[in-house]
Amino acid sequence: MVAMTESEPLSDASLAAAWRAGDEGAAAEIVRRHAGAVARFLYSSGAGRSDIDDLVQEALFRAFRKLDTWRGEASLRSWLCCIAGNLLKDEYRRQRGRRVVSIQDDQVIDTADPHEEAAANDLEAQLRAGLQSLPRLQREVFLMRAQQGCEYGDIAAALGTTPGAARVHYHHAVKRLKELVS
Amino acid sequence: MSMCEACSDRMPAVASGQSEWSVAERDHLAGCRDCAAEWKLVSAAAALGRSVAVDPGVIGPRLLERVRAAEHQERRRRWLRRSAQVVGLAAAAALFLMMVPRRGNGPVRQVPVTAASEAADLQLAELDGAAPAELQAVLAEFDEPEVPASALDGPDVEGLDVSQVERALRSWEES
Repeated sequence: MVAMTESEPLSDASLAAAWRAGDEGAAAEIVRRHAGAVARFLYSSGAGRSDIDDLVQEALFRAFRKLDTWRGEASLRSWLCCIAGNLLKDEYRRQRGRRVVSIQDDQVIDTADPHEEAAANDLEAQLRAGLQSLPRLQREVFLMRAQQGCEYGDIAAALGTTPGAARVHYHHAVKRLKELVS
Repeated sequence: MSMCEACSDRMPAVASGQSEWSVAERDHLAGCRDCAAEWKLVSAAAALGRSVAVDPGVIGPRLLERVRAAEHQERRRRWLRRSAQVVGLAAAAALFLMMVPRRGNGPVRQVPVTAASEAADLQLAELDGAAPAELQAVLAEFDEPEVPASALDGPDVEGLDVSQVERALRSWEES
């Protein structure tokens, strides 16, 4: 069983090693740490809200099945996002390009101020729509950087490119989104 | 036209709440349209999907169950593959053994003619000085019929019942 203290949480690499050694507690901790981030990445990439649970589970399933191949060059978070991106691409192909966005996606109400709430929803909707129009690599780099806070080196390692190229993709995405999101 | 990137690298950290803008950065953002527009995007992206909730307590156990089942299936598939290989190899070995001629059933080896001739020419030294009569006697011994096996081995018991067989054996032992 993984020993974790409040002051010194185990690194993702240690958790992955513990899981590989058969510790299921380590797997549960990896899920606890990253499931939410993967869900947000998938949602921002165009997945419907009602599909998120299944997609997160499938992405993590794929990740656990090939956790041996994660060598730590990329952070676990960016590696998981990359797998989630591939999964979404597969799903998109499987559904022959039919995009599934649930009706509830436009009905998220969290704030008390109706104007603020409407503006936030509007910006969110615009951003989601803008992200959908980006090339896949630009979208994934932008989300890994802006949403997940990954470093360019991490992103590059996860996506199989260079940090310089990742930076260029990010700036192309920002430039395009600025035009689309008012 | 190139974009201003003065605050770009710090945006994700500030948007996630891990860091805060310095006064200088705040002033820059207030006056730079490029950075302000990027900051709007980055902060919106950081907030995007925060309302999407997944429960790791539910996902985790289901996920581990799936992983375990998949690993079990993978092990089974590997075992079947290995078994098929072993069976294939065994079949190939059996086929090979059937194809290779056995030593006993192989072609008859020819005894060299010279060896046979030498055997025929062997001479028995003790008969060299024997008289013709002695030689005749020796040859007559070779020609004598063999003693019947039943006479040497014991009584002929075919066609007798058990008590007759016992009697015959007793009389044979006594004789």
